[in-house]
Amino acid sequence: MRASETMEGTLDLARCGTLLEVLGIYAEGEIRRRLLDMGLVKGARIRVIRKAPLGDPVEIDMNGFFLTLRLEEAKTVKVRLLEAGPFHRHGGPHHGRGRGMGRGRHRWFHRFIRFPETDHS
Amino acid sequence: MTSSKEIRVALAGNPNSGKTSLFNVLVGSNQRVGNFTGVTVEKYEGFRKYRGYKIRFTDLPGTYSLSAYSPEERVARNFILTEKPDLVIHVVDGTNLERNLYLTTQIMDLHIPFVIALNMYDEVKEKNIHIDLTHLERLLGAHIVPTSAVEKTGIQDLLDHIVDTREGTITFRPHKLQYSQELNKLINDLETILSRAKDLNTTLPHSWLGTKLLENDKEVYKLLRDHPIWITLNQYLSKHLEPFKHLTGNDPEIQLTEERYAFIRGALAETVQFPGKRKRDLTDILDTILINRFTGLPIFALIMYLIFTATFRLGEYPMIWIENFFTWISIGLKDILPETLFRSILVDGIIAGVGGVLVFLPNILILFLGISLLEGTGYMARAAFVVDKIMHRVGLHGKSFIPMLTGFGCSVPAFMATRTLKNDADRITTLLIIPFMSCGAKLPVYTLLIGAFFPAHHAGKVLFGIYIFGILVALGSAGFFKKTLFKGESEPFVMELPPYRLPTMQSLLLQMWHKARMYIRKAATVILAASILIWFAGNFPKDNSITQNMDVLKTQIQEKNLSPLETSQALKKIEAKEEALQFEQSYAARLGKALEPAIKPLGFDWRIGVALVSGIAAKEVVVSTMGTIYSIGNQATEESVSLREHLRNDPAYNAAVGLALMVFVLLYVPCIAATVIFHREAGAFKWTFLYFFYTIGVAWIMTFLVYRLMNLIL
Repeated sequence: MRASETMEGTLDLARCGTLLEVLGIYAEGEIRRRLLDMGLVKGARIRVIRKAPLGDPVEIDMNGFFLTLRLEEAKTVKVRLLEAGPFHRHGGPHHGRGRGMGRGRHRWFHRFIRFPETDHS
Repeated sequence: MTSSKEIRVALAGNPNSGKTSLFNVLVGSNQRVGNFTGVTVEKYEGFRKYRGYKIRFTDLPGTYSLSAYSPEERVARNFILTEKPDLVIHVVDGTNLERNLYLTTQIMDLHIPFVIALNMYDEVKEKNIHIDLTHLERLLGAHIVPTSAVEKTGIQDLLDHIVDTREGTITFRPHKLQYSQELNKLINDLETILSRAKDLNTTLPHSWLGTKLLENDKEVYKLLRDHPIWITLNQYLSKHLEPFKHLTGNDPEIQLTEERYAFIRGALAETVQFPGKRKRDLTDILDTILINRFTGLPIFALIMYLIFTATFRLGEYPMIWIENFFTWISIGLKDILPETLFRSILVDGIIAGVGGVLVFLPNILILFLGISLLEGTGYMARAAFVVDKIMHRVGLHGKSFIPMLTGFGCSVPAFMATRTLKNDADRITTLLIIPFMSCGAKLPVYTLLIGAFFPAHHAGKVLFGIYIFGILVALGSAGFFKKTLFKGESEPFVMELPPYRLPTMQSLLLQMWHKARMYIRKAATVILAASILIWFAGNFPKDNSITQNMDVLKTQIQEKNLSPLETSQALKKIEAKEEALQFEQSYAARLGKALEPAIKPLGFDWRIGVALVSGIAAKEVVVSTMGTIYSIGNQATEESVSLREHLRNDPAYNAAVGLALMVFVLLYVPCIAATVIFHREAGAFKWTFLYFFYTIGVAWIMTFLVYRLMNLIL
């Protein structure tokens, strides 16, 4: 088991390029209904593509379907990190197949990662 | 017997599934747009004659789901459940099956006959996606007809399928979605309880009601809550929900959705083969350019600039042609007809009114060409994505940007453009703040007042300040409405970025045609009537004693032995004076005078009151009315030196009054044409009342503050 398997957080904190697995949704009411209808159910795999130029909303890839949601909605989606983006801070393997922004970017721009970074091995 | 030869068909599907393109191919130009009753959701209807039948198509709004949250979803499902079309064509984007089949699972729950139009089949083949259609048909319990709206393939098959279903050569065998044992038990039990309620007066399938109860569906709750059976249902639910949650670890709503997606993934795994990894396609490449962190905003600004410029700069030419055409007719008629009341009604009332209606058409057509292009290509969603953060600060949606921007040109197309907003709270809020975006017709008023009361080197700053002030009031109002009227009603921003596609010429032209038609049909008559009313108020009653007195003066002048030039100048002066006197005792002026006590605290006298009242006809009329009052003649423009001089030399006015008047004109209720369109788009009188009193109220308060502040400074 790699350490990354235990990395859990909410979608708003995920960095561009990361592959995530949905664990559940905290939201209630309409937001919950919308997110469920869009397929953000347990086990769904999503990749964070990019954030809007002003940092919010965020665009995710759901198996070829591109969805955008505001950070306040993304905050209600509980996720688990499956695969770091192409530029993991600690120089991990580049699994990156992320579109666009995740690619070829200096880590300076990746100020979004807030996952607990325990992977020092 | 035409009705027996008629087949009613509804098209349902996801947004961006090519549903509307397919509808356009199916019915061609035999279509019209209306509204679903009670909501501002557009309803497209059309028909096609085929094999001796008249097939009536209704294009339902695109939805991802059939929950009861958005008006689109409610409309789509209520139409299917209550109008009971003979067949539902469920349009599915073949390149995006996982997303699209989710709606299919909900349609399966409804137990209604439906056929799947597997659209964009040309792209499916191009992408080498192999779909086992027969197997998928078996799993979904519905026939599948591959179609392509772009290449117009499969249309015949679809039409044949519709007629064959009607004639009974094809039968629909409804297929129940198989849920897990736990869920099935809940649904079956609820179904049994509901079917035991003999007096439950509904044609809705009981299992669907049960499913929706488990999904906490508001509408179904409302339906069942007042019924005696509710007690039994409630008892059952409170007894069984906790054990269910304990057993599955989920509440039924989440469990249902998860199982639907599990079913879809299972079905796709069995029937669809993808050609390996997804390749970077055009959409990926375009998005890295169009919405990336650095170029996203500049490109957005450029596209918005282009749309605005095209709408109002390019639109100016046809507007001038229309204006010239109507002036030409008026002059022609004035030459032919004798000077009578009838001529006045015809020329100054009706013809001027018709011209005033048509003059908005170029703007509307160009703007909606632009909007359909943005929506058809897929950029509209990106535009919303790029600016949403700014708009969300004041509680608005990214899509509010285009209507607000259009407001700087003209409120009429701006109000119409709010249709792109699906959520009522967002749409009404945007409608209510558009009046504060300073429209083009207000510019002549500013030019006149700035020229009269401010030195030239401050002119630019004052003008810029007025525009900024309008934006600030708009944003402040948006925040205010969102915090009060629409508290907690903000729609979650969960939006698809569809693949970039080239819209067909047909759909672009049809969109423009629908907008123009709607404007002419629904608004033109009211605007025309209102313009005539305003013309009447400004011209009646006529006081004959004024005319007689002036005639006496005229003959006196003619009797004096003046040079022809002096005579004509003197006569002109008298005519202007006559016009001013006649206007002063007209209904419009009486209203303006009656308003004087209300506007006195703003530094305005009755003359400004009269100008403001006539400004409700159209904002630039404020200038010509002032011209009339000052006996300069109604041809006065913002550039005319004499009007500026008059204002400057009038002891009643100063820079404080000038600025106050600019602020008032900026903020008070838009012209009558815009108000009519507002009412149509907002859809209820309560909103139109709010709009009227809010704009005037804000205008009064702000003007009062500005006037008092200016007096302190000066």
